[in-house]
Amino acid sequence: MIRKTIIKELKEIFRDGRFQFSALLVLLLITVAVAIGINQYKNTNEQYKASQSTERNIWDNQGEKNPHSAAHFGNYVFKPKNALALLDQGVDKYEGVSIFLEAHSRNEAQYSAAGDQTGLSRFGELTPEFILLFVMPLLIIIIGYNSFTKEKEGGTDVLLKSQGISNLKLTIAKLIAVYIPVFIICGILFLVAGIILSFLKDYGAFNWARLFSLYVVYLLYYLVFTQIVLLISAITKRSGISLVSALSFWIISCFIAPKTASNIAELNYPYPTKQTFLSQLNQAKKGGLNGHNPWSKESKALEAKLLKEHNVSHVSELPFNFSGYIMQKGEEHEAEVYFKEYSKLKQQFSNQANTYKALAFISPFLPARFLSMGIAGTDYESHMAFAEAAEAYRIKTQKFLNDNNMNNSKYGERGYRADADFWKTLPNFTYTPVGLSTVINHQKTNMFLLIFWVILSAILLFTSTKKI
Amino acid sequence: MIVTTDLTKKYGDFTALNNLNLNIKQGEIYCLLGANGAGKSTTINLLLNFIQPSSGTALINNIDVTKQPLETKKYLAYIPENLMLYPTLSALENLDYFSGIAGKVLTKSEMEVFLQEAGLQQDAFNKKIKAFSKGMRQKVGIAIALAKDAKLLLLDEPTSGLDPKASNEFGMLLKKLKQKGVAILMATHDIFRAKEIATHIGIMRHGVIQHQFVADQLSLSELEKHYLETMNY
Amino acid sequence: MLSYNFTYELKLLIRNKWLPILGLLLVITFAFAAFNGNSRTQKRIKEITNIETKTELSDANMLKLLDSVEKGLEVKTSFRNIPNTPMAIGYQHPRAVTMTPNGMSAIAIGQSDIFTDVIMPITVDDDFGIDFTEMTSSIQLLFGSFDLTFVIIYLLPLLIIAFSYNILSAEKERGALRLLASQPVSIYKWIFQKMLLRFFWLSQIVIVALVISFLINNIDLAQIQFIWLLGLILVYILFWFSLSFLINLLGSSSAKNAVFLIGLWVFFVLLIPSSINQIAHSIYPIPSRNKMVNTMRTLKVDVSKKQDKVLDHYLRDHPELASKEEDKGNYTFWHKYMASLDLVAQEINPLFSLYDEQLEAQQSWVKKWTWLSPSLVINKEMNRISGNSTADYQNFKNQALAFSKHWRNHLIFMLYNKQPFTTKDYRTLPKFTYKPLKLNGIGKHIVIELILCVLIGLLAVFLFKKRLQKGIAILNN
Repeated sequence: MIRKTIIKELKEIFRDGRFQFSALLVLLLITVAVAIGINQYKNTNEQYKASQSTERNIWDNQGEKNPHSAAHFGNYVFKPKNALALLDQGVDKYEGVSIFLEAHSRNEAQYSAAGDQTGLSRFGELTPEFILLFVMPLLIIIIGYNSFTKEKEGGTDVLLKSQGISNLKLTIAKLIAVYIPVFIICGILFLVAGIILSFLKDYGAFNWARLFSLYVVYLLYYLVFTQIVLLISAITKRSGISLVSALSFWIISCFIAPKTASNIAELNYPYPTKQTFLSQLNQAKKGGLNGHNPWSKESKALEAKLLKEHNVSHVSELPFNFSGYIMQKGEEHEAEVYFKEYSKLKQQFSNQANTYKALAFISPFLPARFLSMGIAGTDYESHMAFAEAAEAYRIKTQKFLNDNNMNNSKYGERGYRADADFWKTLPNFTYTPVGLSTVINHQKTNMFLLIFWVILSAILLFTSTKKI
Repeated sequence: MIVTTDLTKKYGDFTALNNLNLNIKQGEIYCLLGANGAGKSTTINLLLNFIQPSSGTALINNIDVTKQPLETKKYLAYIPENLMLYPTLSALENLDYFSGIAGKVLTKSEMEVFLQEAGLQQDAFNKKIKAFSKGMRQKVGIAIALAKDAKLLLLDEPTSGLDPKASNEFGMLLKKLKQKGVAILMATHDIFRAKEIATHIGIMRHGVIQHQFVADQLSLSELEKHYLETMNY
Repeated sequence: MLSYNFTYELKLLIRNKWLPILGLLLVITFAFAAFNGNSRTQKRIKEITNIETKTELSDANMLKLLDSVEKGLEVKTSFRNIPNTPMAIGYQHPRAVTMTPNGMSAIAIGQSDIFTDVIMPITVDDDFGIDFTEMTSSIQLLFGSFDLTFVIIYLLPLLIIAFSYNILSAEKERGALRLLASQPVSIYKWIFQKMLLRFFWLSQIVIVALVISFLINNIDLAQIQFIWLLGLILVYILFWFSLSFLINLLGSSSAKNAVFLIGLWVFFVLLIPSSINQIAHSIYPIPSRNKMVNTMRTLKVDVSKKQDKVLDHYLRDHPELASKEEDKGNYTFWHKYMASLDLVAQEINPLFSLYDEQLEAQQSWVKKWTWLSPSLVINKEMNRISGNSTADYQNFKNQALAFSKHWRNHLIFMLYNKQPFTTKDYRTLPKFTYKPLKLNGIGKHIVIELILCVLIGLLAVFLFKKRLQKGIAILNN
């Protein structure tokens, strides 16, 4: 009985001109979006590899130089693009792609793509995630809005009931029928993406498990929409009203809720402006040790302590160069200040993230959005992981340079230069993106929220169709 | 009031109405009998200019329906099979609105007279149409026709779905209008009602009037016999 | 007919609760949107005031210090902090270069969440090192803000669609159309009047909602920009009503009308903008920033390797700065540093400006195709009114960079002239004032959109008359 109904429903769906047109449009959009995405990905990846080796080359070939000059010359690290960014770019375009690592300061990632784009890009881009997150639910609405209302308007509902099909079976059949087209389209997209990604050369981080998890997230997301659309169709009398109500749900979930949530998050847990953040940092740094200021109170205290420890009367008698030592200590102090200030920022971000989670009850879009970019490795956490790896590398580099100064030069020696070969001994910067299990563990709440939506919409659908 | 000359409507190969010649004068009630798809509604739709004739002409009050549709509509009133009005407006408000957009300004007491004349009970005047039965809605429709001072009434299956009492009341109302000199064209399945109120009866099949009678000249059973013969032909 | 339609349309809209619901909905969304826009504006203003106060305070301290030094008094600070050299001023006392939001800034967040309004260029930094981006949570950037532009561009059309998609089809589906069509009125005139009335009521509600949202958020109403804003909003509402009029006259069932209108919404609000954007990227791609970083680094290495020659080159290019023969060899670290900075800047500027050129090329391409979607036109104009558009920030950036250059040159001149910095010099220090872009041509856009609406209306009537002749407009589907 269920099978018959599914076949009948699918026939109706596939014969409907509106479905044919919109499904065709969606497929076209996906093709364009994936084509653009692949192209972009290839370019970015090639560029990333080239820049990384060029930068390393520049660093290695500095020639003879004072290590602290090299510290100020600094080095750049570049952010690799995650393979699944092809499907979901997440916040990538709003985050910088390179970080300048230098002595004394932790810099923000620079050169976000959004900064180089016109205001139009805020309207959205033709990317696969735009289609996955916004357009596919719309397709579900177009397929399913009249699933029940057409029976009521055509009077076939009475006939169906007189044939003895239970409401439960009817609803299950309709649910499956409306779900199948999206299931297939989405499946094709993910399969094609997977094949392309695994065939592209030098694709480091791609794995099928990640892709499959992403697919599951979208299937759950679409299940919620399908159930809600059918629910609306079941409780309204006319197709027109059903359509308009389903669209309202779409607008609220996908557009209004995220924007409102972002405003509420910002209102309750505001981010500092750049200038405020910088002046806070400077303030915090001022109070402590500064490698360039051996006359400060803090320096003098450190000096006294060191002299006592080594039981000498002057810093020049120390077994190492005091300038290098104090430079390193200053660096450590500054790193700590940065760590503290950035922790505050991170705390603020996690407060904001909790606001989004708390508001997820008004929109299944929110948990799906966060899960999607989390799994794709393009969320803010991924960016933070990169920025923190870069900072760890910066601290390590500074120690590497200061140690050289400390152990190889004499106190008061101005012209000290490290060997030209010295720079090559600095280890490479490596960054491994967060693993899938960590991501899923991190995104537990969002996973629960999405499943909660699936269950809630199922309960609503099946209780409301009990008495149609 | 209505004169049609060789009025024909074709949909591709299918002829819905074939060379209809009708002449209905003031004070006449012409009943079109026939099965579904015989061409009754097509005739009415053509007279209302809802559809365009393939050939032939239709005149209402000597005005060509296709050439001056808005002019002809000043003289006619139409009550569709299932007359729908604005559910959230009352009977008085619906009457006021429909007369108003047709260009008739009425006072409240005038409207009440029309509703009374159409047979609507007094206490329903200010009730919203939502709660009205089909018979009551039709009475409001008649009131709209009365208010318009229509010279011609086009009725499409007006008594289908009415209970016998309401149907009878409606018949009486039409007779009253006839006396006022209104010409009435009514498409119906209801042989009994047709015999009772019509001055002329036409039996339609395949878009053609097969038989035409003056109502007084034959009995109900003769009419029924003719009707069945035509249908089985 | 109009007076009857007017009275009864109003009655119907009130009885089926459309007007009260719309009114409430719009007042709430407008007020919330204006609140969000205004909070952002206030945050920015606070930030600017903060910076300016800080600068004033630090200037006052600096002058006090300078005064003491000039009077030969002893000062309790390390010699590095004494502001009596031009480089100390350039290094430790940067000017606040700010872009104060205008009075209508609250209507659109625009690019203000991506770009900063305050920079403090330091003489010893590269100009291309100046970061013009603001620190906003990237999630917030991704989701965007619930501001008035969003409400008007995205939500208002949907409300209009919900409010008008079934004016004719509902009559048809309920059966009232037959009775109506038997009256001596033309149907399209009747629908036109109904549309007009709904447009009238909706615009009234929008105006009231807008005024309320401005009043409760303390935004000044008495500015000419407010009239422009109203004009833009009204013509945008009219555009969607004219589309709805077209679909009403051509459509069949309510559900089909709704699907069509939503299709148009997706087309105008989502597809056209993202397509134009995508094509702009493809035609004028932004060169890789990573590559730029590489080039810049290589240049710096080159420059530092020929450090001793750099100054000579520099002085050859700037003979006015070269000091007298007897001072030769008296150049300090700063002289060399500034000279190499200048050299790097000269070399890298063409590359650096490539980004601006490409962005400008993109912008002018986008501008060329904006007319394809009235949503884009209105959005662009609203962003212009708010002063937060990309063009505005680009303008600020250019002015700020020009100032930074001016500021550096001013101090470099003093450096090479071996001029100490004195209290007198403070008064002649360059000052920055932001000059906003001129706001013109809005009226032209309003008129063009208005003409578009009329054309759509005429097209609708023309097509409807054709359908009437075929007799498919009134009967069934």
